[in-house]
Amino acid sequence: MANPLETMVKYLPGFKDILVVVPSTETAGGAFAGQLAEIMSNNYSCKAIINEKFSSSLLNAHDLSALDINSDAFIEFLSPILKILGEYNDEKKNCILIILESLNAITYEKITTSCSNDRNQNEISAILVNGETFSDNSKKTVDLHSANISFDNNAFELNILHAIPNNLATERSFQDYFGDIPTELNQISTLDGYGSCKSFKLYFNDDRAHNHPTDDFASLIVEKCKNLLDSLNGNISPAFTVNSYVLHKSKRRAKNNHKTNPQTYQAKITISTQTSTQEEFEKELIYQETIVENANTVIELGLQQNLQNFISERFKSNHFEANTQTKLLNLVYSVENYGTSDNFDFRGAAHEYEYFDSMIDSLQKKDEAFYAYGSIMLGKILNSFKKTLKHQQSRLKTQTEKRKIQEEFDALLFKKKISSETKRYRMRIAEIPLVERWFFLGINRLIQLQPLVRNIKTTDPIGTLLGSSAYKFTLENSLNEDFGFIFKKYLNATTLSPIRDSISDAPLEKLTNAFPKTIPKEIQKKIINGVKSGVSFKGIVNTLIAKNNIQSPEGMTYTEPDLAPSWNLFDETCLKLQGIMEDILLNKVIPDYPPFITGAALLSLISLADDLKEFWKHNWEEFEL
Amino acid sequence: MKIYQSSLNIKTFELIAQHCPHVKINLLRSFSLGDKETIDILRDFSPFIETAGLDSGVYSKFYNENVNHTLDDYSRFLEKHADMFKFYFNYDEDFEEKSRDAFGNRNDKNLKILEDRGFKPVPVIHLLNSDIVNFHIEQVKKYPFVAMGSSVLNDSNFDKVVEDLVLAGISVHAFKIGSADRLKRLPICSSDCSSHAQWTKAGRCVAFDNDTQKDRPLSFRYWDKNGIQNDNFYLNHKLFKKFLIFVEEVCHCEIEWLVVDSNYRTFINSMYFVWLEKYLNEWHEKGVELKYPMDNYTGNDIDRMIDDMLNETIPPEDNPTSKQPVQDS
Repeated sequence: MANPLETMVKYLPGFKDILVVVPSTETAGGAFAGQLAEIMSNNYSCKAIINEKFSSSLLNAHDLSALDINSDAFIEFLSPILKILGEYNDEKKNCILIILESLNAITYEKITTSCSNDRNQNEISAILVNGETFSDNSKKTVDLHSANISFDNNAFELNILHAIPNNLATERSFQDYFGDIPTELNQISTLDGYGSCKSFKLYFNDDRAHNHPTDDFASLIVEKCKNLLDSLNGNISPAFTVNSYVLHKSKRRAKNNHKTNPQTYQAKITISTQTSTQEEFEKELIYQETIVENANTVIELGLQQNLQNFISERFKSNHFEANTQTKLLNLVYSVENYGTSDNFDFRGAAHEYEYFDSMIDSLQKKDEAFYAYGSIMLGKILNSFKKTLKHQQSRLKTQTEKRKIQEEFDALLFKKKISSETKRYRMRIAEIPLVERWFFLGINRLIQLQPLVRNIKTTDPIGTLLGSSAYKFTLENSLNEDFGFIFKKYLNATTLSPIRDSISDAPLEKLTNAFPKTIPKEIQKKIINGVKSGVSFKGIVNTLIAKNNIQSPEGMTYTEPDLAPSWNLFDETCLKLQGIMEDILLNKVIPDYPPFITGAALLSLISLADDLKEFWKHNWEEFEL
Repeated sequence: MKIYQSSLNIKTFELIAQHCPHVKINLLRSFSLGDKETIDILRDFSPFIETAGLDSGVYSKFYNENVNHTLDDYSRFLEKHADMFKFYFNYDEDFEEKSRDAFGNRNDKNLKILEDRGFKPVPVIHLLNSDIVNFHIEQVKKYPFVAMGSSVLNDSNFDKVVEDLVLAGISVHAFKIGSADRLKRLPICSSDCSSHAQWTKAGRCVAFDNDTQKDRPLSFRYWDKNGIQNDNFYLNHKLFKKFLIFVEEVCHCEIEWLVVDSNYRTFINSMYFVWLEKYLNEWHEKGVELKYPMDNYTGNDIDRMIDDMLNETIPPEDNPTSKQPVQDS
């Protein structure tokens, strides 16, 4: 049986000049990369660099992240890569293949992609390898992407995460390059679904990056590159100038790039968290840790771990094709990243979207969490398609042409009738950063949370809300119908924090029930001012609800009387009078007519109020002011 | 310009046939499931109908949960009866355009579905966004006639958009405008209103005030629903004398009939809009000021009376400067 690596290389597209950077040959990942490098150097004009100094023990992400970014080891690790990359940028305009251990390769993929995009000098693609984690132990959990290749003695296996064409911008299909998928590569069926793609990239990855956030490590890599380039200041070759530009450019891009493939979002966050100073960088790391902490407070670790495999298990248990999840992720990624590219085949992508839509829709009533996951992914795709459509429309002059392409998109994406409500909530939910982490809450709860987290400007708004409100997710309470109410109430309490000591639960619930969303700002202000001026929280809530004629929900019982019954003329009139007085004070109304009548009326009112107070005090049990 | 009257029932047509058989109504019927009345009216009262249009009935559907017809129901009705109508509107069921997003909206899809089935519905504009307006301006050949939905009537850009569409060569129908004042200002080719029925429901008729050039209600109830005296009670109304002439001489009815029978009030209101339509056309074409029936009129033909009124000079009592309030009669 032929070596599957050889077979794979044989079918790889024609990279003319290939740069192979292998961190180490001492690890499984490094060994694989080295093996691949060797095979490729026999077939192509290939320059292989094996960075022996980077020992296997340091290949562990946590060890690497522990390294001082200014340490010699780090600089030594990065400098040859950057240098050769710079030489290639300077001298050649060919395809460069970089093979790296996946953790830092993700970072490099960003650099190379940006580099090729920015100056159009090189078509750079990356094969990202991470063999190290495919130990026997990890096999049990490696299943998120079921496209596996087993190699000799099961030393490691590869999960194909993406097969997204990039550097081969032609009309030819994947099969045109690969021919019939050879037997040895049958399991790379991930690639099969991209017959209409115009270019591709291969990411060889496992799910370790998924289980163990690599933000810190990737951030360090980026930071290191930046420092290295800075240190070369004054003696910068044109190539390095390009790289430096790329780094800064990618930072700007990342600001708008928070919606991304869940498999790579961590790396994208990393890019977005590139900071100019160490202090800011550390702050960001602390913040990222807070996100994880938030998740840990919301859901038990054991349950979290179960959820890691939940989706892939669901894909299996619902008898979808082996690589369905991978294909879905690929689609999310490709539409988002290449949707506005000239060569983007939106018809092919829309066709795939429609397939996934039918598939996920069929599970709506069977499995809420899985349906939520699918809806989030579909929403992300739709949001990206929206950008694609806008981009294409921006090139057209007339509304008729714009309408025509809109209809084309619509016809392609929504052959199956989809309610506008479903479409809307999918797109809105998918706009929430990192919403995919919270799929297990189910679609209905995500719909309830969406308006509540709209104004939370953090990297993980749902995590922020749930974590900070001390909500605890358990399978038992997952059917709690008051889910949205809990957080609405919490947000209301938060907005009333200046009077937090005065807030009691029952009026707060009444207040929360009274408004469809969180309480409006003007009401917040009135409550805070009222309580600060000595009115009880309960009293002012009752008054405001009555004055605003807000209907309390049925079935709620109160210990206090309803202050706005239509039959209670006295209370109703008092409320009206309060409103009139407040408006006068608020608008600083000063009448221009003689004040004696008004003054007399007010005096009479005060006097009568005193009399009434005295009267009720002695005749109405429990009456007191 | 035509004012299409909606909400007219068979009884109204019977009264038209009885009292003003020379009148021809521009009729707008709303599609409704199982509604025989539309077909009956078109079949039995065709001599009294100038033109008929069909509304999709989605306004009722939007505000009444018991109305539950669908695009397919509408389509099936059109298959059978489209020929009876001069035009029919799109099934624009998304009244507030909530479904509108980057990929389109439900109303446009419905339009396309109907077009694909061979119909030619009149598109209805529910938003005055420039892209929508410009699309229609570009598509003047395909859609020479468009309607402005009632949801945009109060938009501050409404008049401007109507003007732009008209200048582009598009004939514009405005939904639910019956106000003389507003119709005078708009260069539309048609509007529709059910004001006659609404006035009737509230126990009122409508008359035209020459002084203000606006329509005014006359109430036939002394008290309103809150127990407060109606300040537009017909006997105390300053337009009562003119209204009386209109009722007796133009519409050949007795005022007492209106007091006791709401069908007569609907009929009188319907005649008012016939009058208003004719006057508006005169005003638009010749710039002739609108004038409500004069109290010295003795004719018995509405057209002749209108012609007379158009040629009439304003008598002293109609002169705003010498106006005296009409005392309780």
